[in-house]
Amino acid sequence: MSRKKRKNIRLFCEFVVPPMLIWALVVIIPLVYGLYLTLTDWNGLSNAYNIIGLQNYADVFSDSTFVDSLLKTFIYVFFVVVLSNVLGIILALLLTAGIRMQSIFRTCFFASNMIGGIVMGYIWNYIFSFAMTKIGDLTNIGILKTSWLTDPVMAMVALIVVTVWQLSGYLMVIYVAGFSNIPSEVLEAARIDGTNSWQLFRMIKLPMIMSSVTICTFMAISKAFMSFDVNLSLTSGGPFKSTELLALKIYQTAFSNFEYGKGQAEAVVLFVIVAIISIIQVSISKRKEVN
Amino acid sequence: MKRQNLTKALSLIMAAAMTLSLAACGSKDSSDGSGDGSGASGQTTISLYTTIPGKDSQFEALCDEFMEANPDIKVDYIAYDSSEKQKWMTLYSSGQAPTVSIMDAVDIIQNSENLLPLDSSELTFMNQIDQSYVDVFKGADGQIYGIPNSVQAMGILYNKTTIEEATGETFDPSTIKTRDDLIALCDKIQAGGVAPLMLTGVDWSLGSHFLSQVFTGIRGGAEEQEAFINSVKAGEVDLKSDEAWNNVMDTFDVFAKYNYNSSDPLVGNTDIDGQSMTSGKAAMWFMGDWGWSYLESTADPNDEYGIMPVPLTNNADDAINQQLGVFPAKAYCIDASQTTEEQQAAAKKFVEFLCLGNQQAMADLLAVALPFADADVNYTSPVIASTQSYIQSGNTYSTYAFSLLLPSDFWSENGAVMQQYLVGQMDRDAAADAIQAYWQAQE
Repeated sequence: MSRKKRKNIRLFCEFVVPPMLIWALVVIIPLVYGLYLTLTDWNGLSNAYNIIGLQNYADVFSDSTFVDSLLKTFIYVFFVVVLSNVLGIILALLLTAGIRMQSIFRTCFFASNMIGGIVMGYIWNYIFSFAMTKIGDLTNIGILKTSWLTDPVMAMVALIVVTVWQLSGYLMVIYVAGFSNIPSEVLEAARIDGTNSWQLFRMIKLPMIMSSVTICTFMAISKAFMSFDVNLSLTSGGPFKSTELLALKIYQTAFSNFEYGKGQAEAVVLFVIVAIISIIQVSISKRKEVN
Repeated sequence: MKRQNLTKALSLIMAAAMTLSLAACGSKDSSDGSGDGSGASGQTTISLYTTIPGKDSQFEALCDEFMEANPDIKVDYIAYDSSEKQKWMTLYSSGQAPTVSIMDAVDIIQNSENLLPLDSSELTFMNQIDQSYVDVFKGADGQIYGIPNSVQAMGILYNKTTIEEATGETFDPSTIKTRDDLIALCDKIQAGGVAPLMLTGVDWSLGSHFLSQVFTGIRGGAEEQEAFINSVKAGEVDLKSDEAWNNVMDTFDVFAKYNYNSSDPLVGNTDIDGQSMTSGKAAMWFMGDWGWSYLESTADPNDEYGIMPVPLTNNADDAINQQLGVFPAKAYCIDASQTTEEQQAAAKKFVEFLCLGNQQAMADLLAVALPFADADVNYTSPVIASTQSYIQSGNTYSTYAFSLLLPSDFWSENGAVMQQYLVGQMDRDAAADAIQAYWQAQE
């Protein structure tokens, strides 16, 4: 064995094995144990449980409320991903255009992301239920007269609005970095060639920030699928379970209904869905990236 | 070759060191946690976990008081966590089960296999508690696993001053003996320009509290309640044509009709609703005596408040219309699965202290009535004083089914049904079918 190879092995043991062990301990073992629990009827507290095979998975897919919740989650994710990215790009474009006090604006738009989900949900709960209805009473605008959170469709809209409000500031920062990295010569050359603003954005800027789009879309997808805290504090799944997204549903199954095995099975299904969609999304948008 | 062996040995040592250090972390945790619980100085260490929000400092003060009187016992107070039951499950799964916990009845029964059966011949102070409250914590094996720490009542909270100002008459809650009496009162209050009733449109209030009245005292005692629920589960009863169901829902319709929140019934915010009550915009509120905590900060000290039963039928002879549904919500339980006998003995002493040691502090902390018939405490809440008068005169009905027979997802599943009924998205028959389907799906 060559000296170099031996050195490599030693380096591997010194630098890769310890983190691998920790990673295995905090990620792999819980994952495998979690998968194992989906095969049991454990209630989360008991010392004993039975192995019931794939019964939990069968229950999950035959449970109409789960499928219902899955569909709602897809609708929610679609709008959140599209709107937060579009808004993030628009904000980033505006705040890289050289307007006055743009760094203060950047901070302000990012600030929404600094508030914890639970707190933010409660704040918006008050805004939708009490502040907006007061404005509705004063101005006689029909849509503001009753709380958005008490109507199934509007509650979902409210949930999307709040998530987009929070997420777009974060995505904006990544897009700002993307736009700032476009070489000014390229933009200048395009302008000399006579592009208008739209062409400049569509043909030059957007292709140049495709790597940011990949990251932001991936982050928005995974964050939206796992959305829990805002869902809990803003609507608690209501009115009458019309906004119960998957993560909240899993929590309810595992911890309110004492069906830990089934809740875990639901979580595995969610994990698989998110993994598949993320892989597809990343591979598609990677292809569009310009090097 | 020599070097290769050295590398191998080195990597093995590295791996072993990692594993050992991790194992060391694990064992350190267990000795610090529940473990055998005996410290170097011969102290027995126990822990207390509660599901009562916002009272950490008061509980810690009680723990300190106990430790001062019992220097051989150390109580670790586990701070309140809003995930309540989830945190409890986590503590159990991680081998850190609290020695003493204050939990809801369903949670205690679900976890009874890990808990210590409590015997009233040993813990004689349990005899001071009404047997029907203690029975709520009876496991499938007939043993008692919890000692109730409080009793609460659900019913109509009323602002006597608002009612009298609106109607111009003196108000006596005992004159409301039927649904029609309630309607007549509501009409008078409404004529005085005040919203007579108020419902908070949250699933727990509608689905757990209001709806539970279909399954509790109106059926009779614990046995009748259980028999009725079993017959619903077995599909022997058609809820749609059930008299009690229709009676309770008729009363619900009265609440919906005169509801202060009727323009947007599902805006469920107990704090805002409490303010509507104290500011005199609404006269009566379907809630419970714990609702005083929503009123307390804004209540006019000159206003008189109280709680009265919900008239569930239209027959003045039906005792239920004059009785308050009283239930023990939470109880002390002691772990038996991860504790030593010394710890269990210390825990029993500690529970006795929490029950009897400083009842005034406990009553102030809980802001609901204590379950002890001869408790010598002053309740600051006028609503609890009102509950106490019903308890003392025996005008209470059994809420056995509410405490014990309703599954833990009852409130969220059927709360959704009641919300749909309240906003007119579901008619009464459809609601009955949905609730019946829920019961039939239970094993």
